[in-house]
Amino acid sequence: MTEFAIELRDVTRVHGSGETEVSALAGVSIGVRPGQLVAVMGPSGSGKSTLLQLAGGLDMPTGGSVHVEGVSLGEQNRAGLAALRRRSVGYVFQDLNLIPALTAAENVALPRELDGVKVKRAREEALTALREVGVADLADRFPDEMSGGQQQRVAIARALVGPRRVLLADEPTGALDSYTGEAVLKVIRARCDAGAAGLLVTHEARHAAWADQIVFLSDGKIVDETGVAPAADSLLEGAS
Amino acid sequence: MSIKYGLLALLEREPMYGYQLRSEFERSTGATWPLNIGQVYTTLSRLHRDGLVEETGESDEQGKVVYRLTDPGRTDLARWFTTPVTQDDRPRDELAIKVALAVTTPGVDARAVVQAQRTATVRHLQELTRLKAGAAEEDIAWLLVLDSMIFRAESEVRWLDHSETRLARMPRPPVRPAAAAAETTTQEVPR
Amino acid sequence: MNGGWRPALRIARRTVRRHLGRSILIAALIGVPIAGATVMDGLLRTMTGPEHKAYQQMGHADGQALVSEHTSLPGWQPGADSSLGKGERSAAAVDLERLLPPGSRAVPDDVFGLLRLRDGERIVRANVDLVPVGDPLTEHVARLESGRLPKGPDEALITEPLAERLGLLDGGEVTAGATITADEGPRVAVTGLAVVPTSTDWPTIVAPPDSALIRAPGLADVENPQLGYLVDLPPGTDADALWPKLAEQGIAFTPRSVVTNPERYPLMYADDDALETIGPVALVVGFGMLEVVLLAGAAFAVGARRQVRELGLIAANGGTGKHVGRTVLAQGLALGLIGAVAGMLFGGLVVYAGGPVWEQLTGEVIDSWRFGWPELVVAAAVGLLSGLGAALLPAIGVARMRPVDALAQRFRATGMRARLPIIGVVVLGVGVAGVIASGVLARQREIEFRNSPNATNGYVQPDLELPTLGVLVAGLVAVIGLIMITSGLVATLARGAGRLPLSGRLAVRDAGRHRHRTVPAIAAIMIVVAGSVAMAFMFAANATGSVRTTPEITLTVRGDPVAAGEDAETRRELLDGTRAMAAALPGGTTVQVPMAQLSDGSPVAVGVDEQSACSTGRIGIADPASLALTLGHQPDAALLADLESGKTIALDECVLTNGTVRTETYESGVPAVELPARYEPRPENTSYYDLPYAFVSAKTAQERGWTSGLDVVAVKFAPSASQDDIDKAIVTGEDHGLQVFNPYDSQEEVNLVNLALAGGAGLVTLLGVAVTIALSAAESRADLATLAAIGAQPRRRRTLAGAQALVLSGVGTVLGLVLGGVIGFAITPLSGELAFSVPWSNLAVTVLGVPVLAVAVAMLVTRSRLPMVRRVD
Repeated sequence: MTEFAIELRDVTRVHGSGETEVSALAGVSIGVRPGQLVAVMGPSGSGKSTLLQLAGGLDMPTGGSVHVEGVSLGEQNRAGLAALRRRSVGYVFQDLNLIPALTAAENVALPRELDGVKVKRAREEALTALREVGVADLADRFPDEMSGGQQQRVAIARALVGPRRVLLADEPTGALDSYTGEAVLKVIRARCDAGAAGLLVTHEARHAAWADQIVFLSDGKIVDETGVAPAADSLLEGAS
Repeated sequence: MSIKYGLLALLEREPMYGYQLRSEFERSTGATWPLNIGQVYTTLSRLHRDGLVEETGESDEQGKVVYRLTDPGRTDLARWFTTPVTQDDRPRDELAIKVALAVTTPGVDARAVVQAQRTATVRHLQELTRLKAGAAEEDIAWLLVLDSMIFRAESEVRWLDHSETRLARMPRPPVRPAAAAAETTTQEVPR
Repeated sequence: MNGGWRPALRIARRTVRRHLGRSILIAALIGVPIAGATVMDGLLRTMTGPEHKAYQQMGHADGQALVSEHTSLPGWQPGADSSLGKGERSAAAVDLERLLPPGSRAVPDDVFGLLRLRDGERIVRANVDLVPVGDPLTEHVARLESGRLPKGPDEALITEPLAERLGLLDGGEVTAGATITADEGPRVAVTGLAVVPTSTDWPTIVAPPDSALIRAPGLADVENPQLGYLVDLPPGTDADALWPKLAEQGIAFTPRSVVTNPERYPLMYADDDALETIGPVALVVGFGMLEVVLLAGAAFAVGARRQVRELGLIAANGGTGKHVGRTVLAQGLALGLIGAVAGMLFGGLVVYAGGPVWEQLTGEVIDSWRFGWPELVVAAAVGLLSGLGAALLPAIGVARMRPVDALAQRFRATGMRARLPIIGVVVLGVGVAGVIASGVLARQREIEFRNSPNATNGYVQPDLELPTLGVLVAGLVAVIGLIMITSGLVATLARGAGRLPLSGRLAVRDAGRHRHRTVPAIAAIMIVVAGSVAMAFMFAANATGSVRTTPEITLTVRGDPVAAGEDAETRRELLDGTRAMAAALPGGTTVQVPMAQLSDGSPVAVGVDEQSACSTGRIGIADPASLALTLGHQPDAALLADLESGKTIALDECVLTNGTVRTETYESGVPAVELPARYEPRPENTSYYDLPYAFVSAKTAQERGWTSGLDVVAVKFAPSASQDDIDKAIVTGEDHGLQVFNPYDSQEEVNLVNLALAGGAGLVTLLGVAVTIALSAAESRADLATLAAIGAQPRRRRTLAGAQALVLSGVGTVLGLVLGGVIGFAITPLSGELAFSVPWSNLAVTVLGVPVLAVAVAMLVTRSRLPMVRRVD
């Protein structure tokens, strides 16, 4: 079981009750191994964001279970979930990832500082993470002094700072132009190749294509999935 | 599409002979379109006939003929570059026809068709993306071609998503043609 | 451009309804001070002022007539001396009603006296009002509360406090068959309870003018050659034409308008205390309004920010900056109006509903409430202006935005690059200089005044108009300068915040980035802290002027002023009574304080010039015990030697002139005597009310032909005596018919005021902090959600709120402290004090207490939950 960094087992999430009951997710099972990037695609309303919220403990499923690095989220209290988000799991959202009042390095160091790590060490870890995503020179800049792509990279660095190995990305390229978006995805790909586990939610196939496995979500259910695709040799059949 | 303009563009760089043209072509287009040498020579002679290229008169070590661009050829090439590709020049869309027919063919689960196609296209996308990941930054021509294929694939996926939604909202699949005699627009296609 | 207002108003109306919470907050901020002003206005208008005075003096009558014993009073004018002297005729024989216009009524006016009642072994002193109770013209003197009116000279009414004291209270009525007996005097029956509207808590007997009690000692010896009447004139009578005619008949008639419009009469002086109160009141009102504008402004600023996109749409659809600004201003107007009206209604309600409380506090009966409509209109206008003022800057800011930026909700980042603006420093400097200059001027004028002959004239005040104005204006300028500086200050702080721990860093940077709401809040806190600090300085200065009026652990006792009989009997009563008091106290002893008096019993006092500011008192005959009591320590040999040699020991330097002291007596005709004297200092800060101001030896007194009178006996007790013991001893003394001087502890009142100040400062600080934190939380939902996503502990939200509160209240308090100190220096002389002392304990409480309170409440009030849903409002 612990081979999966993130695992959702038969997860269901229902909102409201009775007449107004809405099922955001119904019996979804997904597993992501370390070093793997899994993309979840689907139209809006398909339950993609809910899935990501459940994966990181921001929301609790009404059925099934969620496991992160072997730990069952259902058995954690609020403090435990918060600790999980500090130490294991990192989120990257579409925008407003960074706290405007903190510099890039401070933003990246934030989960560590929140966890009680000394400022100096937290900053070192932050700089390392920034280097890994290629924006070490932005360490002391504020978010409003950076471009959207740079901000997303800093967000990725923060998601994987310190001991964190799990990345949950919710449409991370939504607010970026396609070229910058691609650069961001490259960074995510690189981090996953380096050992992180990534769960990526997107509605753009082009971006999902960076993943090892793509899952299609519709009306809260998985309707299809690519397997883990083989390496490509030639594509000559494609041209006509 | 003919390879005429591809060859003209290559000759714009420098005069070349047949085999050289072929290898340059393949390199420039990232081996997505392998040519056989016969195609090259046929096209060259046509170009020569139309006065767009001429022989330089030189031969290389192996006695091959070296061609170069003429002025009309240069002009024609320039025109080609500045003229956008029109819609009629694109090939027929087999997929669109397939899906359209799937909808109106009884006993065919159009949604399954759409989904299966989509998965396949996405897998194709993955391969393309993997190739792109391995490409060098400087290989701009190669990247452009790759991107073109990626975007095309993606647009196909988008259309498939869209179709899936449309199909989902459709009422139950149409009943046997006999009962729908009122509908005159549907055509029956034997399976 | 009329078209521009209607959509603006519509949007304003809808916005107010949509953001009901914030709207109510702003309306409340504006309305509460107006409610307070309404309450104060109601109280002041009803319980002070000429109308009130007139009612207290003559009820509903049109005037008071004094029938003198003279057949004519030439040259008498309203406002002249009311003791008209003995004359040729009998005042009782005059039929006043015949001399008045037909249709008039005259009723005997109240005659006031003091009486000793005997209740078994006890003496109970009571006031007496002799008046025809029950007549509509005398209802301001006394009214029947229960029972029935007295029908003849052998019946009377008593007030509830007296009935309680005598044990004659049964439920809400007087016990059946109750009687009261004057000491060595007649007995009358009590037929019911009366209420004296002007002093409901006094023990009073209300009896008809021909009551049997007038034969009692105490009332019998009061000589009254004139008779007073309350007069009701027929409507339309010109009272001012009447009094000269009556004066010709030997009747002094004071029309009602003498009290309500004294300026019409040359002999009357108008009460000028209005001016003295206007200064501080204007100060308070001005700064109060500034407070409101700042706090409400912060709320508006946030609202305007949120509305920016809508406003951008207006602009994109052809509206100009003006239209956009109007939308915000319209909201300010609306909320100002609502706040003002609601505030006034609420204030009025409080006044009406709190009637019994006010009556209790003031000891008066309130028949109807009066409001001053001019002031209320001004208050409403102030409310409206506050609303507009609060909305002004945000409106301007929003109107100036380019539509493109507004649509994208892109705010020109209030970059943290702002420096301390030079203008702000200059403005602050000008303001501070102005305040200090006003303070110096005020001191100068006060000192001049004290050295002038007017010092002892209670009617003239030093001319402090200019310094008051100066402090007001310069103070406002200084505040504006400080506000300008605050912005730069906060930005500078934000730049240097890198070294702080996480919550502190976020709080300081947040303050720097959102100066549109933090600067107003800091300014609001600063102003209120400055105000409270300035007041503290003023009260500290005043406190140094407060003195003890009795020695410690001592009660001073005098004999009964209405006692009848010779000195021997009163002396015996005094000694017996004080002995009983001493017996009732732990460690109680009596100390007799013999004072010099002439052979006829009139006291001998220290003489001072009329112009001098010296206070004076009686001369005592020195004996070791009373010397020790007055000086606070045993007299040394040198002192005793001086006394023996005939020197007078004076306890106040200013009565000495060239080593001598003058004596004087209250009876004129006895020549003043000059005595060699020297000065012996009193204990610090004392001015003993009942003890001598100077001492001579018994031998000297005898030489001068003075006798030793015993009017005062002091009762000393042990420090371990409880307040209960002291109260019991006081009652014992009173039961013996004695007057016990109950030292008034002004310290308690000062403490109360300090508490109120601190409370007020704390309240406004809390308000400012609460408003800002609430706004900040609303503005930073996204950040809080991010923190949640990153895994911040839920209590981090509390820590953040606490840090924000600390930043706001800390900066505000420090700035307020500085400003308040400067203002305090200036306004101290405005209140008549020259001493300057630093109220360290007050300052410590303010400087530490305000931030601590702010942080504590901020942390308590903040939910310790982080929003999970990433919604950006």
